[in-house]
Amino acid sequence: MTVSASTQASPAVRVITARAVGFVLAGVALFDGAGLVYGGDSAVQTPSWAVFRAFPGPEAMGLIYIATALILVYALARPGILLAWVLSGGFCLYLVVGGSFIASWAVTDGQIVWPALSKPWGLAAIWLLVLLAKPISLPAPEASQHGQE
Amino acid sequence: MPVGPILAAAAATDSNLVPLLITLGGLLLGGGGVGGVLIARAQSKNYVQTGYRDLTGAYKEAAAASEREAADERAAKERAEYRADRWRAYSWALRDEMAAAGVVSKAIPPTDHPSET
Repeated sequence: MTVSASTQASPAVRVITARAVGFVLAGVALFDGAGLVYGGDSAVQTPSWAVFRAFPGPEAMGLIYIATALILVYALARPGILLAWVLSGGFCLYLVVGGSFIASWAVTDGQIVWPALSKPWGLAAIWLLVLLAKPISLPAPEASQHGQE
Repeated sequence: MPVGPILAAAAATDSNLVPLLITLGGLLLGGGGVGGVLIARAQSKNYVQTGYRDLTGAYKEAAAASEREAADERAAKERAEYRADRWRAYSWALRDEMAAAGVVSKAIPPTDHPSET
């Protein structure tokens, strides 16, 4: 056979995976945001949330989460420069939440809950990985050989 | 909302600390915002150049490529069939002529094309 089987468009899979992870991240942020808005102060009674309970408050944080999630869903449906902005924003949001935990422990001299850090910072890492995910690069279509008689 | 005594004690913050907490919250959110803008500005260039936005176009291109491949395969198969047909026609005609000349027997059919054996 003169036709090679190497012209399959396999690199596109990588983008699909990144997009799927992006939708999962949006779902998590939506869940967190809805919980914060619905529960208010009672949703974040842990010592780790002392800083963000004081400012800007759980409801405002919840709205930030929800806005981030909705913008991410919109951007994933129309991949473009907005995607870079919202992924960067989500990364920093989760990074800041983890930082606020440490600040809360330091300021209030309350209980230190080390395992609480893993969720925001782990999610921040995933947001960053999706942000840095390699774009698609399809191989140039090969010139087919019809010359053989 | 009832909470356990330990949680309630942990959640209760000294009112003296509230201004500091508010300052910290503002600083954290502001720092996160600035960091987000910086990272986005650094990365958005990539997004424009690499054509992440051309996702649908890429899918169309991939579909067109696989369609082209299928067409090539079909054409190759047709060429092979054409070659085999011509071989068959020639070999039967040759066998008939040779049989008419008395060289070979009509009972023996001609050989198939090497690709079919």
